[in-house]
Amino acid sequence: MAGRWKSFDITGLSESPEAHWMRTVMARPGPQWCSIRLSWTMARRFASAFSRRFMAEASAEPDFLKEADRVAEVDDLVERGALITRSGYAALCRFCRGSGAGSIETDLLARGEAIDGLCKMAGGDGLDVTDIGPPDPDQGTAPTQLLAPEPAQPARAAGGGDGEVIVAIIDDGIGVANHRFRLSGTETRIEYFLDMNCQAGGSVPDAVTGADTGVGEVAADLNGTTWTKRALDRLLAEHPEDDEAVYRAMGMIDPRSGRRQPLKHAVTHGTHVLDLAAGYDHRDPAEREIARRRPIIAVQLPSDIVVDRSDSRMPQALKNALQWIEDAACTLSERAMAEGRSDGYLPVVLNFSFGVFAGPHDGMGQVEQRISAFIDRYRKLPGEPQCEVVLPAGNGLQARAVAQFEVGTSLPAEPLVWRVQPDDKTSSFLQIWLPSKEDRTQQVRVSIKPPRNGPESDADSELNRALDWMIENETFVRLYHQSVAQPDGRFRERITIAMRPTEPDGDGIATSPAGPWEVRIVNDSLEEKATIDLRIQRDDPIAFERPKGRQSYFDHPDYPMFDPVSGRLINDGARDAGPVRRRGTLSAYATGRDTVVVGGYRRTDGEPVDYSSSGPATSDRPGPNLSAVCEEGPTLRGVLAAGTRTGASVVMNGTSVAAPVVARELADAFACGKTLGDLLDAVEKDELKGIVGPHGVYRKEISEERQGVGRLVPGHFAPAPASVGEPADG
Amino acid sequence: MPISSYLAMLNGENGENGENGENGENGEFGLGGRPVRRLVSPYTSGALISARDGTVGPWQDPKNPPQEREPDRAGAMEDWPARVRAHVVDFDLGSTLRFSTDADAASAAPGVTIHDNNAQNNGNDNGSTFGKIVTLTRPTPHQFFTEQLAHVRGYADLRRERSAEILAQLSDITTFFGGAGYLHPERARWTIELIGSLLRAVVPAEMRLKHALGCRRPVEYCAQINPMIQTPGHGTLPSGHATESFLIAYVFSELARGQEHAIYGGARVWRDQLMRQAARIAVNRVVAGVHFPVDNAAGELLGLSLGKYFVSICRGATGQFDGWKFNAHTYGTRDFPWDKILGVFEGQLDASEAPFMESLDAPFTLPVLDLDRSPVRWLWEKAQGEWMLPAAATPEPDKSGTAEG
Repeated sequence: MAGRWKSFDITGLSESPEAHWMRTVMARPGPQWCSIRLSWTMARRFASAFSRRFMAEASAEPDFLKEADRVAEVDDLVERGALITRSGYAALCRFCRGSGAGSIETDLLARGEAIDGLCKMAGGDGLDVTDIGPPDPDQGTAPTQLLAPEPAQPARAAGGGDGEVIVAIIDDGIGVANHRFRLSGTETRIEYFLDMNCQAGGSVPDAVTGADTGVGEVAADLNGTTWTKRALDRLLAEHPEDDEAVYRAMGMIDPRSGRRQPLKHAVTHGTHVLDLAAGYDHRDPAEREIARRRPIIAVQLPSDIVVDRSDSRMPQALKNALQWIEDAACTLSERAMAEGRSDGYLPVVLNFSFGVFAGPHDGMGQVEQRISAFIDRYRKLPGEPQCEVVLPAGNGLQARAVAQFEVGTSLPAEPLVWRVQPDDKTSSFLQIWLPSKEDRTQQVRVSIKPPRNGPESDADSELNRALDWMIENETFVRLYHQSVAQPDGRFRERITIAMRPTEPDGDGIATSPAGPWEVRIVNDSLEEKATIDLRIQRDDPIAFERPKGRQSYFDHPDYPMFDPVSGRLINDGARDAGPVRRRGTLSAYATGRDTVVVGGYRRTDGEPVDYSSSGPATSDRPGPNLSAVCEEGPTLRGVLAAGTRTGASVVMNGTSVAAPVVARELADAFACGKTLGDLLDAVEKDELKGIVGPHGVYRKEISEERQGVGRLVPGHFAPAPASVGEPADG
Repeated sequence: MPISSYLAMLNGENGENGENGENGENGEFGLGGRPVRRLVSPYTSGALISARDGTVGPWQDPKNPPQEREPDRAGAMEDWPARVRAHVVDFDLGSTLRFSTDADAASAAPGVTIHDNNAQNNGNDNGSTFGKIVTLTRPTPHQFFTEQLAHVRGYADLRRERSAEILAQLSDITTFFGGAGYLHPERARWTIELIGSLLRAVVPAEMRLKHALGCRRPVEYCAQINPMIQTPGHGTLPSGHATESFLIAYVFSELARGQEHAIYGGARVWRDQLMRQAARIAVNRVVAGVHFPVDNAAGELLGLSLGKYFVSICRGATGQFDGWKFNAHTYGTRDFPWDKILGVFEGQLDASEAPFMESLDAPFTLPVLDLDRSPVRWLWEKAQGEWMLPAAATPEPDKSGTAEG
């Protein structure tokens, strides 16, 4: 295999390596969200440029901007295709009218050239691209105008007398028209629904002069399209008993379009998960009474982010989704207060059934930080409403995507084999994380050797440089060696290895060889006992599109896959041997501060399901907080809940469906004034008493790393039946 | 015995439009639905000869002949084996239809028409000799290409989850309607026989139209459709599956109307379920990659029109019948608004909801089938008798709280 190694400087790279790889090497098309932080001077330049570009037909240039604010460089950038939401523009203008102190973070939707322009400008003259780097939780984001909350109310007691709890969901494929989410035949419980896929035939709507983003029944802006309950109710009335017609009217099903459309399909993740979290039968008077007090806020993530396993775009989407949910929850709460149904902001339970393998695992990843910041902000609202975000532990126990070396004992070692599968039509990523420290010095060197006697790197990786394996002018593999700043002022050294697909997807692109790639780590200055984490990013195929991804894994002879006696998969992290681990496989999203993480157990015997990921995290989290059922038994897989179309029950498994069981229980707890702590106490008490399953008492010993404080048997806070009487005729 | 095998024995029904069928016609497979076998086989003939020799005794003259049958009485159908009944009904049903073709001025596309074949009862339909039941036109190849092909690509996403249905519906669609009513080979034998007969009458009509229009299949437009089943050897528009499934849905819902009313009051739940099933069967063919949505729309109108025509004459209706025309060249990029087509067809929706179909506005007088003579009416009456289940007496009102508002 011919080829050469070549390195170049990446000091100050403002994107994540995955985002940079996808944009520059894989030439990912289409506009992307970029977070930028602007000084006051620079903010005025952007406000001026956007004003000139968009406001011509709307109104005159804002009077506070001066001709001096005009800079050709920024004008060019905006001309080349950077868009801003109306609310973002308004916030920018508000900031520019201010005193001239501080800086503002704003989001631009930018095309390839404009991103390049932004990156070139970054670092100098008051502009930072903050796509990397966690948000400052205290800073918050300016409230958008889409669902602008009323000014803060005087503090009052938390919770309402009515037991109303908002259930929010961020998911993929949410059958919002399903009867399980209705209050009657023509009335939905979904108060706000945001579909983050641009509906206008794939084109990006004009942000500033485009559709009105004010409070309307259906509002579109760059984040997607918002439907209010009123808009949804009208659709339900227009298309009685025809869910599909509703989705077509909303633009979520369009057979003429080639884009991914989950709601075409019988089984959808979001529908199933939301049913477990907040589905009720409105025909049953008792259930209806509870359902009435569980308003829903739902966000459909953009398909192109769901399918992008590089995970480089989720933080931006999640940030927008969380901000929107916060606005919607505030609006709902204020309405409830105005109508006298509540004397404070309503409690919120948010379910986010997503997980990834790679990430810092210390709670400092962007997704984790954004979720923690959301929780902080909401809990600080007047009345200090309860707010919990529920996440699955992950399904990666057997994925062989996590390895760990300990300096002095397991390192130095033979190179670790990273086996990249053939027929993988997506890029593969491997992250190597070193412990947190106070400075940015380089402590290790990493090299990689292609399979089948490919050329070994003649130079090891170097801090602040990228190392490419090239054949002719094409890059096949790249090592990004960086020192990542932590919000606590410390640093972690990270080496990200990005690899091309091993199979072209009909596009004739160059491909990397599949097979055993050898990763070698040489320690220069790490102390004895220091641990090095290696994490392969998740890369399994996505539902509702052609299978593309294939999960690469660490292939190590010491890894015991099966129990030699029973022949079953080993379901116990304590039996790990060698560097490849079951312990520490917890989803990186689930390592954040203050989130509720849920493992999965099996109803028949109470044992953890054999894929439910294990703690501990690199942060001080030992494992999930608790576990819930996500398999009925070893042969009856998964659990039943709603299919996409009303009336259908379907099976889904995975810790994704354990999380919403806890979300539902939490909502019931909040409704009667109880907290997460009360719920965990109740679960612990159950474990002490002994839990009786369908085939006898569950084994007493539980693993904290897999099941947290124990196994949830729901119903601790079952709302008192509102009205006596039989269910409606069944 | 499942309905499908029963139907396959009776006739060569639908699926690939009779390509695998028609065998009911030549095999004497236990026709009639009951496990009736020939009493005399080549293996028993020798035994019967020797047994007669041992038992016959001297010849004794009969005193009286049996009564002669009245000529051409429907009631005699009761005596004939199912295979014979099938031939009799096929002749009568087939004789009610005829085909013609003409150029459509508006589109320069050939309009092809299925007519009522009753020469005595027409002449009031704008010049044509025979009453028009339904007229179809075809889209241009350009329209198929630019307006319809994208749908076929989009629907291909559903292949994995629809494959069980698609494969089953290659040879059997009737079974899928059995879920809405009790279609058991013994309990609903006349209904099944009626449906089989109507399908045998409709398939030649639909094939004649497909032949005349000669529209090309999706695979002929694009190398990336890769249908998941064999593309049939005949033209694409109208869809045979759509025609047949909507015919079944229409006929079955008319048969079961009394029972539907008894169970659901005025709500048309039964019909809706049948029509949804018909639409799903039709859409499954687009999913499979062998049809365009416009084929289904044309097929639905054809199936509903022939269904209504047959039901009218089966019931001995004496009124006027007005047909529909499908203007395929105005169909555009529509998907398959089957509910709109049904609503306009039934007069429940304004015609503007489905502007690609128009009333022919040429009513003609239906042929009258004599109740005592017509084998077709006889079969309808027998089938109708299977759907008379009354509702139970109303129980005491339920006092349990309020259901949804």
